Amino acid sequence: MAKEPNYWRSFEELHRQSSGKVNESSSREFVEGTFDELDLEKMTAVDRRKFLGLMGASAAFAGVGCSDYRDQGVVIPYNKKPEEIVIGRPNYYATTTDESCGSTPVLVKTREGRPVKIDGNPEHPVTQGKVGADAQASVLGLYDPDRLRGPISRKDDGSVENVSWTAVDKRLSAVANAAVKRGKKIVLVVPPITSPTGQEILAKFKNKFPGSSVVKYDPLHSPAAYKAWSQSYRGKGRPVINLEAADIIVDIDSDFLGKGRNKLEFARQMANRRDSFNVSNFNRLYSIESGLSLTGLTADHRLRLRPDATLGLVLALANELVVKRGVGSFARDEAIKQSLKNHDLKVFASQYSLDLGVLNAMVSDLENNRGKSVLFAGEHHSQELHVAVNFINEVIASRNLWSKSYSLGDDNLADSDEIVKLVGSMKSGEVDLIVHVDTNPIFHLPTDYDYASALKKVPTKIALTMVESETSKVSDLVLPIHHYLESWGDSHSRVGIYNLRQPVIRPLYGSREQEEGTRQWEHIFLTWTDGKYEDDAYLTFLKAHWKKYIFPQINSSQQFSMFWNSSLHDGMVQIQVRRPNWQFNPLAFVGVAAKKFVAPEENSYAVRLSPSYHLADGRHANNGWLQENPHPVSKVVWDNYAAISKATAAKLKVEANDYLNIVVGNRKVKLPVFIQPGTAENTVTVELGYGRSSAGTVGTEIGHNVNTLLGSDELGQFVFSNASVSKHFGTYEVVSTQAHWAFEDDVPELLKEMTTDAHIRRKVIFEKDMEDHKKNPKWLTKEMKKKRKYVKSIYVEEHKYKDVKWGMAIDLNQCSGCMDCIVACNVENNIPVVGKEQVKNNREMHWMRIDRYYSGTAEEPVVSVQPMLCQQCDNAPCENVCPVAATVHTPDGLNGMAYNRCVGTRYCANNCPYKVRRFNFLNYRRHFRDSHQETPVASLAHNPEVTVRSRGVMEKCTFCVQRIMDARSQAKLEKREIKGSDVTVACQDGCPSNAIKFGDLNDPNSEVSRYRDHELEYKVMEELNVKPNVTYMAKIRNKNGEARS
Amino acid sequence: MSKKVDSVVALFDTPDQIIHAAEKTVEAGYKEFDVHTPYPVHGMDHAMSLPGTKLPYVTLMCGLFGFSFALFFQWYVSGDPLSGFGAKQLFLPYWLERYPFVIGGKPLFSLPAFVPVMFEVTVLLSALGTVAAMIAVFCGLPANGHPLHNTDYMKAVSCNRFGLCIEAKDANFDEAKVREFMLEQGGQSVVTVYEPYRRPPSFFSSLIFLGLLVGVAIGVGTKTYIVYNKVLYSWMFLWLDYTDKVKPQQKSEFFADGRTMQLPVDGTVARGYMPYEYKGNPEGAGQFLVNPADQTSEVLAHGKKLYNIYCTACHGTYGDGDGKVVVREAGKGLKPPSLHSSKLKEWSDGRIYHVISEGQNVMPGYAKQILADERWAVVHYVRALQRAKDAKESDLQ
Amino acid sequence: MSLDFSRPRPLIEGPHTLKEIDDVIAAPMERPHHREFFIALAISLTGLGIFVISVAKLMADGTGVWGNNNPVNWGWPIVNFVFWVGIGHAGTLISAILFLMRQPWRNGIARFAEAMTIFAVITALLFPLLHTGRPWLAHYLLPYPNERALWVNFRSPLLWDVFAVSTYFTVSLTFWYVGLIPDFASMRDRTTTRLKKFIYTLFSLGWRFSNRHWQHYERAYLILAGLCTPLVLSVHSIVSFDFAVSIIPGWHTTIFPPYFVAGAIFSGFAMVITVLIVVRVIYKIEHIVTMLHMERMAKVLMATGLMVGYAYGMEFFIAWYSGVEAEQYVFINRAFGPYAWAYWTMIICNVIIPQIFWSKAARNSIPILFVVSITTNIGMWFERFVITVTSLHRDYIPGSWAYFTPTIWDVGLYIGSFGFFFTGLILFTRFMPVVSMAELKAVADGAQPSHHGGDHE
Repeated sequence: MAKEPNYWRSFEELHRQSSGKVNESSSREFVEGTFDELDLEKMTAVDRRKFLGLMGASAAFAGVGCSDYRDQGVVIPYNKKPEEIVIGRPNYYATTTDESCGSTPVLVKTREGRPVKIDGNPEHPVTQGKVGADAQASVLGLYDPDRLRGPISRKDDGSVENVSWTAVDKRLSAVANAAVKRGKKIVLVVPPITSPTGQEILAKFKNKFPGSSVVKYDPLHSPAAYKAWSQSYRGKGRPVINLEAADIIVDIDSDFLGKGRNKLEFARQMANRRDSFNVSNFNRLYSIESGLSLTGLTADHRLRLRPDATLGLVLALANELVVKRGVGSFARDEAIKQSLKNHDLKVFASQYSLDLGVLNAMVSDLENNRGKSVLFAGEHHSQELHVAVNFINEVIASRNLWSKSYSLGDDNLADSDEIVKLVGSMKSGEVDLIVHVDTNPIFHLPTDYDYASALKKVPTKIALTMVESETSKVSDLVLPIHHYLESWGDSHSRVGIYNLRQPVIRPLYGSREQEEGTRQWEHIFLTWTDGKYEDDAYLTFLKAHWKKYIFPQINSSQQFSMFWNSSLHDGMVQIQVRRPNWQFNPLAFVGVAAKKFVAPEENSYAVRLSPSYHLADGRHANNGWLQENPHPVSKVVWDNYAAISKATAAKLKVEANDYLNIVVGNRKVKLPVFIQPGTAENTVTVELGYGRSSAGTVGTEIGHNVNTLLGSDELGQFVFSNASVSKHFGTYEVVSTQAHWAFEDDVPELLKEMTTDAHIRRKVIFEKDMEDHKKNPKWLTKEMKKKRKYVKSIYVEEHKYKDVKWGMAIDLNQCSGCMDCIVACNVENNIPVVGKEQVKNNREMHWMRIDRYYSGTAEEPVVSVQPMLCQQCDNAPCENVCPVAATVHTPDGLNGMAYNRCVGTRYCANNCPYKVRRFNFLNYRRHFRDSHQETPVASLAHNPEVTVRSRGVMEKCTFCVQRIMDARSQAKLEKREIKGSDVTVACQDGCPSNAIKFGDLNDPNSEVSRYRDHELEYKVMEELNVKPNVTYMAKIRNKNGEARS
Repeated sequence: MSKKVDSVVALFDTPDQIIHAAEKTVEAGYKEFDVHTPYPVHGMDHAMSLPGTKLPYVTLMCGLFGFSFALFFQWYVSGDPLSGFGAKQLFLPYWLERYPFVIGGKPLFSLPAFVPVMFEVTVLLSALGTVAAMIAVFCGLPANGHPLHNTDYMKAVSCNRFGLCIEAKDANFDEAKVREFMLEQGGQSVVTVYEPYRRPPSFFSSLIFLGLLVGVAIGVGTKTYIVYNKVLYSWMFLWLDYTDKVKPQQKSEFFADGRTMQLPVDGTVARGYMPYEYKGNPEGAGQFLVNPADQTSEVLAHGKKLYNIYCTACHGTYGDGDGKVVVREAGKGLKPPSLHSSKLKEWSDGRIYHVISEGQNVMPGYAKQILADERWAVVHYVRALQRAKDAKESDLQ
Repeated sequence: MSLDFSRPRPLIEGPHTLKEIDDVIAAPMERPHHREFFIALAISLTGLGIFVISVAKLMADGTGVWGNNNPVNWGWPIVNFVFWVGIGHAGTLISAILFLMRQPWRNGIARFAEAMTIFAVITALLFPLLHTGRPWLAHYLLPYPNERALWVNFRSPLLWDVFAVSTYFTVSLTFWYVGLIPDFASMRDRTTTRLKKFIYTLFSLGWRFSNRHWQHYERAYLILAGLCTPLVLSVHSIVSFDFAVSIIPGWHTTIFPPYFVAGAIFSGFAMVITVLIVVRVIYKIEHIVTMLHMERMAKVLMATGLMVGYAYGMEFFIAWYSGVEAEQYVFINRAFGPYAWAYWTMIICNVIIPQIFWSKAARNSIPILFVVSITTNIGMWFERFVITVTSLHRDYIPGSWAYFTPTIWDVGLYIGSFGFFFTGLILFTRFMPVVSMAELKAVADGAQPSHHGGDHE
């Protein structure tokens, strides 16, 4: 069995000496035995030497068999080592992604010129070193085996052939010029481009080919919200709320922590107001929502309200605030008083059975905290709602929370009318050429637009995409484009902050000179406008643009080249700008309020769509890591579903996994039922982005497509009233990594009592209301002391850890349960994607999970989340039971795991009280989707520092031991002891709200030690005396006193 | 040759008879005699006045050995209990090395956990020891060649008869007397047993055996080859020796150039590696670049090390431009300037740094071999050399 | 060996001169064509086939072909392992403990029970091997010197298991073989064919029935019996440590060792009864393996059944008494949770049904004995299932509770293991004396001198 040469490095000499000697001598013995002595003729019949000779011969023969012929591989060094690369050490590049909505600055970790990990850019003022799960997982997108290798031309019969770029360019110019001559239209359908140069290039294209138009659209973008904004406020751009300054936050069916462009920023700011060391500074979050969302489960008070009644609530609130309590300057405005008179909070509350106590508490909170409170309205709700919310925000003076930087806002994204116009002109045959630039309208756009059939009328359809999409499948020319990690570029999302994008790897497919391969879309357009192809055309263009527009803005003395390099180095430039102070205009609101809010009928159903947490609009469908990342609330993987409340399910006579038929107007869709505690009655909430019919090997036919439910009245309107919902025959299994036993019916009484709130009965989760906590801050410390008094061991001697001892602290007040850490862990530790079937069998491989517990009732559940990973116990029960010592303790207090030694008895996993060990039941590299992961390109995505585990091996979190070892060697190089602060673990880096702390427990001043001494500190199940090294901070719910009474 | 007498045997029908016969034999003073019964007949030991067996002592010995060995062995392989982590290994052959693992926070020598194995080993060894001793030592088995075998006598006693056998090696053995004695005791079918002739086994000459040997060898050879190079590396056995990831300096099936190590894209800027601003602009470098490294002894030492590695070959140990290469390759236009020329002394650190990084004339750039800050260290060392050449009072401070 | 006892019914019925005993016992080995034998063999060979296929599938795809999942990392393979080890207990127990207790009626069944032990333990040993993720690395479990300087972890109950079960196997085998030596010798002198003679000669080691040998032989046998008695008790205790030493609620119990041993004897005797009932008919040895044996074993069955029942009750009590939330939950969950069906099957088969043996009629009725012995083994299998699966599927962290469902390959391997077991056993009955000739002759009428009696040991 061949070993890697450096495998047993510590024993190398020892081994080579001894075993080497043995081989040598023995082989010589064979030689003598055979070739000198073996002469059968000379031998008499009775001859020991003949015997020995033959014995030797046979032994030698056997020896031949034992020798090992496996290919030991070759070593290929650099022949010219680049200056910045030290083999085996990572490099970091600042660049920008637009994987997640909007452009996010990232810091890419590369090894020998290959990107392996993506984190946030710590210097960036907005994200401050954080990125969403989708950006983290995007490294898989780069190495996606489904990526197109070169331009494809598709004939009418659907057959495809590879074409060269020159052919493509020729054909384009021919078609385009013809179109211009005949006065026909050329349409470019593009995503929301935040890149100045990109826009300029499009402009150039328009100049070159007059009569061409650009349609910019974003399926998740809601024009209504922007229209409402411009109705209420004058001036361009939109403010960004500084959540950190807000004391009272009201979320109206807007999952602002879980979704939307600012979620990273909000998560951080929210967390900063939930610091266990500053309990008095906690903010208060009210959430009024239709389905249970990330924001809802973080909220201190949560109310269920069907989505189509939110406007009524907001108006009632306005009435309560302005008319009844006379808050704000509009209290004296007659028109407003008039318009609001028939919206009464009490009536509304009783009508929708909302807790009036909570509502009143909320109102008085808003009243008492003017200038320190804000309402968030659901992005995809109606224009009216947004107008109304803007009004209340004005009343409670939330403009004081506007942060210095502001976003460009709606830079002329298409609204419904524009799309309709486009479709019309396509149908009427005015459009000669349409280019889809990394857009997928066939999948995204509501069927009512009839975009598909309109597209058929266009003679030439070109799609620029990385992986074949629904739209590219119906295009004549499919042009493969770069992944963002291969391309240059810039972006300008926040006013005054320009992000730069630089490639961190050469294009995987085809070099610049070659005729096949990928090109980035800006480059393609430049080629078309300039009429000729040039290497670096775009780079030169980009530089020129920056020299012309951005360099002057910072009036510095240095040369441009220096400025350019330093901007590349930092990944962005910041330019001071003044935020306009938008003026409020109440007229719109009066109009909205006066128009009597039409309450939905009693028994009609409301449908609330929302973008998927992980797949957004479906663009990440082909990314296994994201597909398998459990839904933050329901923990469902690989699917979307119709979430309804238990009562509604009973009313509809459906059970989980039954098919549900949802009809809105003339549009219908069939979805499996998932019973989600905390969903409003008569409400169905569904996630978009699933059901791609062509998204690559992984993403195709996963889940159900609900874009068909969207209407053509306005883009981005995800709330539907008066839907009719009924049971449909057939079932479809929805798989989740964590069931909610608590609310099962078939549990016998005797058991039910113990099953409900099991997590609280077993002291896995500790929670307190703010008031009780203030009354008795030491409540937990007492309990813990009691607990710890009784743990004893027969072994008196305890092991002492010298030097560093690693530990972790997780602040449950800050953790929102967003699941970003899980993807971070997957990427860092080469964790395989196992697929739906395996997850169904509880074989998901995530080293880290976020347990979600419900307590209370199925209708109004109290939700607690808890990140659970290997606790690196000092008295690790898993180590004791391993017969082969494959898992043992390291000198720095880690619970080490030697994969190569593991025979897979799985006792360790049984004996782990936290159930954080994961076993490779199958070879998931080969198993998943026809060895999708075993292709040579996919293996490039693996972290070279971490073993790729094979079948039959146990694995688990080791606090990113590879990073620790890296830091150790670094410290050694610098001739110093390793410090706790030298290491950050992947989940910690990935956590947008910095809830995870990691460091040295032996250092009394380290952050973890500080948390260990905190009064809210506890460890899970200490009574077992396993001595876990992960400390949790008990959650404090900042409830309002009135509301509780 | 005449057959050698081994013994005289007689058969009896009932246990009572044989017991009686045995007692009589003892009285008659025969020592070397034996009784054969299909099953242990009780009272026979007494009748033959046999001494008790010593077997139990063997058992005891083996048991004690097993116990102590198990205890020692577990103590040993669980690591040296006296020193915890980083226990310095004794000087042992590699195959006797062991790690002092801390497992589950238990002490290296956690006796309670060792008890079960101690027990099992004790039982195992004492059981095996007993049986082995019984068969081999006390009964002297296997003894398939014993004269009594394949005799009607043996067939009888192995089924349902009881036999008495007086052996020839007894002191007062006399065939006639003994036969007579047997008959007196009512023994039937009294027979004399002779030692069979055994010809010495001609083991090695048998060609069949040699053929067999070769056959086995070939068999073993092919089997080992197939197992170790084919079967064990078939897809179903996974050894984790080659895992599905990419390591530095590996061959790549994916990249066109067959390397896993890719070059960074031109014009990109990695963190901490600002590109060199003064490419082909020595004056600029001389003007604007200042030496960031401060002139500490470590820096100088490091600079010296690097200088001796990279520069001495041409510039010579003291920078006089008389390096080995220059001397050997004399007259090949290889004339590195002395570092002590006034020109070089006037050069700014930046200027020298530029030359080191970019090279000039024949000299190649060393940017790829020497990191930026190291190059600055070299510059310091060069400066030191220059000063050392003609030291002034001021340098001594 | 004991001779003197007043027996209500003869140990051997019908003809019993020494010669006849030999003839009867040797018959199966000397009768070449024997229909029942080939039928039985055919059935067991099909089972073996299933076993081979399941193993092939397992090796090809991996542990994932079974139903095991994350909380329930141990599924059927471990259940089967404990099941078979349990069955493997009757043999040595009968031959050792009953021997020490001077129960001469053991002679009729000892040999067969031992053989069962041997094959049951071999079957059992296969499961821990196959259930590991990488069976081809099983040698890592042995403490052998290696260049990695890696030994084994002597703190792990699994390692104790390796030692316990292998020791048990080796010693039982030795014990069995020692018992066989005289019989091999008898066969050697009986047989006519050359090959058989060669083989029997080989194995009989040239035994000469010499009384000087008998002396040591008997002592050795006694000592072995003495060693086997604690061993047989220790083995299942250590198997129970596999669970008891863990910290999983429902496993972490001090009652396990005695409870497991009782269970093992229980299932072991049940299996002996099942098989003997068939064998004594096939080989027409009813007069040697008599109803007396059957009745005595029935009594043992009932006694152990009661012990097991007591353990079930005690578990619940302790769980309640401990006041540990998780512990209490596990037991209530066993009885009323998703796996209640398994639990109640176990209770009915192991506690309720054996009570029928209070009646002498039942003890003496072959059909009843047969049925009960089978239900008992079903019940004992479910006991192991309940212990393994229901404890794991809902342990400490409510977040990772799950349900376990076996796959066809779980079932295949289990069914197949029976094929494996019976193939071995049937071949044994064909080539070796199923009853110890020497021992049986020793207790036949008039086999011992009249004026001698009592114990001479």
